[in-house]
Amino acid sequence: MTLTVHTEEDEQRQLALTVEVPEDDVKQAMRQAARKLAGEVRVPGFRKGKAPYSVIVSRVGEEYLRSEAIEDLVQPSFEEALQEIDVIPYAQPSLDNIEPNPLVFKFTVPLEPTVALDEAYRELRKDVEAVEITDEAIDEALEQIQIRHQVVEPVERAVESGDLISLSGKGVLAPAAKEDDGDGDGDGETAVVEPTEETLFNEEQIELLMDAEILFPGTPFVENLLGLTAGDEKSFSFTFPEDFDEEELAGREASFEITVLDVKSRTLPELNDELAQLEGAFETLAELRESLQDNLKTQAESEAKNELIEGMIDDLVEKATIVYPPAAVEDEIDSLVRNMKQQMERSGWLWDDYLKIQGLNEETVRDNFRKNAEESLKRRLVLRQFIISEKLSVKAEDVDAKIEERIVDFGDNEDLRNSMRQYFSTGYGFDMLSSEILMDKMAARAKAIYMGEAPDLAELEAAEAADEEE
Amino acid sequence: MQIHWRNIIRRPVVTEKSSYQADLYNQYTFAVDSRANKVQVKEAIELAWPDVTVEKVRIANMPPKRARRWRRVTTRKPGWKKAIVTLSPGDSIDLFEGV
Repeated sequence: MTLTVHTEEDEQRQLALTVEVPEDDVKQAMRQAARKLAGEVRVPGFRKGKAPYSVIVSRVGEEYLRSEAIEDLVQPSFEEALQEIDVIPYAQPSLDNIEPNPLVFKFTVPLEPTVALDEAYRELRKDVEAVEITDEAIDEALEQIQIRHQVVEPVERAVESGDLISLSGKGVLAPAAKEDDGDGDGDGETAVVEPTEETLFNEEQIELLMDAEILFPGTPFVENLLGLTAGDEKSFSFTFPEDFDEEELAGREASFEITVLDVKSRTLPELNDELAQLEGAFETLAELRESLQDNLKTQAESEAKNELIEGMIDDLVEKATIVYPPAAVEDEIDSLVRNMKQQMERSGWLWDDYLKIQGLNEETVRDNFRKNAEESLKRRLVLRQFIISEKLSVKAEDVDAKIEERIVDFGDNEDLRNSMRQYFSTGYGFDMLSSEILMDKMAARAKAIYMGEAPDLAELEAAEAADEEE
Repeated sequence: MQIHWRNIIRRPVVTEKSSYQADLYNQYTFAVDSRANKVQVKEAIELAWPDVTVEKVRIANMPPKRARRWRRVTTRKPGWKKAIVTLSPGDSIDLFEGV
């Protein structure tokens, strides 16, 4: 085809593409369309697919045939035009208009966004705190382990703090009072204007841990239960403090009627080598501590890395000049919606039902996502630009090094090590590993920039040039 | 018996076979009045398409088709006369005019 192609770029990184298709090509496409139709239409006197062009024309009409032909022409002429102007659409292109005679298509082709980072980003300074694992953090982790191995047994005694008790009964919130609570005694306090009570809980059996720090903290709830024994009943009421964590409850009066069903004591195992052995392949408590420290450190480091990168992106997005075609946002929304759908379907919802229940439709869902989509698109673009400007890249030797590092964890089994090596060298494993390496590098560079220790860009450029020459 | 030329040619026969013959042998097929003979067909064609010359006319009587039975109902298609008209080389008729 010899197309007449005309392009014009607007200020939103969109290319208005006008493609004129010569009449000869339209005619040819019409013949092809007729051939196709002949196979589908039954014409008396002809076997399927055998009717000649002129018969088809007189049967379906020239207009119809032309519109079929035009439809068939859209895709190939668009592709050819793109090739001619050597452009790859960044997002879903759209067909805006068709003029039938002479045949002219008008497309809008989203172009790759342009990202200009603020020149001064390398001058950004921030304190980057070194990752440190305190003894307290380890102690806390150890306590979690103790709790996991705790021994719970029923006891015949009064409730003490730290016990696990079962109880039945209910708790109700007095109706939202009109600034009239002062004393906390009234059982007959329900005589306020609105007679509705809200149920806080109403259970046949519920197991509660008697810890005043956790269970309705700041209220005498736990206090009221201490000292009771199995079988005891008690009614009590109190007012939630004004600064209670759950806003809905703050300042409200609540009354409870409770029967204690049974009392169980909890015994935490002692912190010793025995516990360490219970927890896994550890010989001594010291080993367990060490491993906990390592784990916590790795975790904290990766969090710190993320924080660094996210912080860098925050700073960059703020100052960067980003121009992107609107279709890019739509694509982003598409993928968000698709994710959401999948998630819904995994949890057993039908998408349409979900929409109905939420009182939404596809349009409003998309609108809700729009802001997020724009944000994440911008962040991604800036991140990409950051990688490019900083000449960050993952090299084969980086990957090899990382693989060897990983493989150490798999012990001495040579077969297993080889298969893991294979896994990390191809496909998903490789992608995962390289993006991890890239993240590491980004975090390191972001840190360097914040500390004012980033290598000179000119030097990086020279190094890269040298690399390419090899 | 006189039949007006307009009434001699009833309709062109457009089928795979007739298109094939038109393309390769310059022969055009028509359904004609059952009473018409070769000479009348020739005259009628030349009157209807003044710029063609008829070289030869072949005529066949197509049999009626009966016995298309569905239970007791018999359908019946009447017979008709088919004329295959050979034109002089270079002449042609557009069969789809007015169809």
